[in-house]
Amino acid sequence: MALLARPWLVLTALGYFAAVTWIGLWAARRTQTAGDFFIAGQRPGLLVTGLATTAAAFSGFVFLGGPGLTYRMGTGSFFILASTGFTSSLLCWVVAKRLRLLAAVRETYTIPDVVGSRFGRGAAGWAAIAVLVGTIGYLGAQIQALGILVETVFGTHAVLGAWSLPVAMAIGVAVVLFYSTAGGMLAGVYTDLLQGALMALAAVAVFALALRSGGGLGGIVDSLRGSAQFGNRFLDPMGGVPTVTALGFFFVFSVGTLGQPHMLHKFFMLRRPRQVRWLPLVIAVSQSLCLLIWVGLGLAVPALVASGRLQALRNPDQATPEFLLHFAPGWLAGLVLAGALAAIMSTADSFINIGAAALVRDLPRALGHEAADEVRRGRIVGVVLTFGAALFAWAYGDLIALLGTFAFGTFAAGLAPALAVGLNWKGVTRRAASWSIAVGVIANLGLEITRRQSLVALPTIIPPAVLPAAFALVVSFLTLFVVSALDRSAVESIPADVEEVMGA
Amino acid sequence: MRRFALLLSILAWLALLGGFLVPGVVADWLLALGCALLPAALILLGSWRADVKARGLRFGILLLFLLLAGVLSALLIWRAHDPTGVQAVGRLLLQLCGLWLATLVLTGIVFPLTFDSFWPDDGDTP
Repeated sequence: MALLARPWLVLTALGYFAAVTWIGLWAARRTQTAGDFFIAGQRPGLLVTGLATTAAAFSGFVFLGGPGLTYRMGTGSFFILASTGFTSSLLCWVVAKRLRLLAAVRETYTIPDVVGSRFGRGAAGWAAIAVLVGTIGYLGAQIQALGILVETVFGTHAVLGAWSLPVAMAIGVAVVLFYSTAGGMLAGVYTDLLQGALMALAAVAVFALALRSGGGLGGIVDSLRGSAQFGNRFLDPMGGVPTVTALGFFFVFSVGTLGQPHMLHKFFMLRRPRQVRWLPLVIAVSQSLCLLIWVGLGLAVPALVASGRLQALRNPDQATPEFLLHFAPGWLAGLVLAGALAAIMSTADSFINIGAAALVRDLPRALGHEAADEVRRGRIVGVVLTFGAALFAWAYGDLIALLGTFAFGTFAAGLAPALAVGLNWKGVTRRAASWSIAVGVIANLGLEITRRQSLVALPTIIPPAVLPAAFALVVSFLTLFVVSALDRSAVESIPADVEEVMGA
Repeated sequence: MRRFALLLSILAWLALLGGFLVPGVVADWLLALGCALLPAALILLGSWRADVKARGLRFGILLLFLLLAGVLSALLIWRAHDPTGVQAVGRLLLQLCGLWLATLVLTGIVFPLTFDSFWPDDGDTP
């Protein structure tokens, strides 16, 4: 309850909720068509699209999961961040033009729409399944992060014990569902503008405070070196993880960006395609600012624990809220808390809409059915999906960042090869795309389940240090090449307008 | 250019596969090479329609990613020779900042400069 006793914190957080609610209500009045609901009527400009992309991409994963992951495995976790400088331009170089042009010639609201236009209904169906599986993981990570924040703010653990996190998650779910299902992606995009700006501001402020609280970089290093819990291993270039894990993080979070529907989706919304010239820079700079919170708290919190100024954490994901509780002034704690909530909620509402679109549009179309009243159905399905994701997160029972890595990896392994190569090379066949997506999703999910289940003894398929997502991404890509090489018969069957888009 | 990019990407993926499955130091180097070359290969693939003027810049991209491979390799060497981690955070941050700045050059300078070559004024519709 200590946070609630600080009025500036509560006022800042309430002010944020009031602003988001107002934007949600305003956006709901403007949502008339399926185009408004899924791609914001193609109205957003450069800054809105850039900040919305950052807000959608960065989430509870960065604000809570990141510092928690560093607390557990040391500086090796920073390899997730190392590619931030170029992932946005990688996206624009490899797929942005094809996606935007395709949206100009065909009704394109979702990534499975793109896959369907290029490879047909079978591949689109697999793409919708990939989107669904990844959405449940990603949404679950956001709900888990939201629960941990609510739990800390309201002090529910002292009252409810083991039931604290599920109850806190349920409270957070209710708020996310309100404005997401009311306004759809239009609400998402415009609340994302506020949220993206707030996230960057909060991250810069807390970075400075974290370094100062830890005694500067020198003080942090000294504290960690002398600690039995962290020690020199924490400071190793790869942290406490093998090289293959650290480079696996780098690999999945760089190349895997090409398969993230919540980021790719933004290219359909651009008002003027020429804005793409400066879009990567807006995204890279805003993302880099937001990541300062991960670096700052990831180093400072273990150092504070090592020096005895902070109790050892019950759960590494508590690193951010515990720091706010003990070291931040009320107004800054409120700002960071609102920034973290912003990150979580913006990503959550993006995924509710993307997941709903996969279920009410993409899967039925892949099966040859046209669903009526997609907006209404999308809102209902969004609610169901959110509760399913909350249950999945509860069952997964690990760090936010690891659940987030699974979800990011599902999108990467399922969609990145088919989109990155398939939209640029006519040699990729329909069958190859379907196989690549299916193999990517099944391999990632299968390896993750095999590794985590303890019911039966199963043979080890990949070394324990290798990330399932990294291995699945490699296998998915190689499947695309091998099946394309073996199956040359379908190359000529690309629709004329899609072929023109690929050749532009 | 497209064939070169595809070949480069296949080599990068095979290097990565080897890195994940083969234990030992060689695997680390294969991973570093694959991690650095693959994005370069995909960028070359995505900008295959860029005009002649942009080709120099595209080879610049390749060189930049080779630099990335160099930085990742330097981290591996550092790990091998300085396992004690003394002052490691400062050096690590310096190296990650270098990595970030080097790749931000792609995003902030190379991408805007080459933009017109692969997305010309009349390229808003196919």
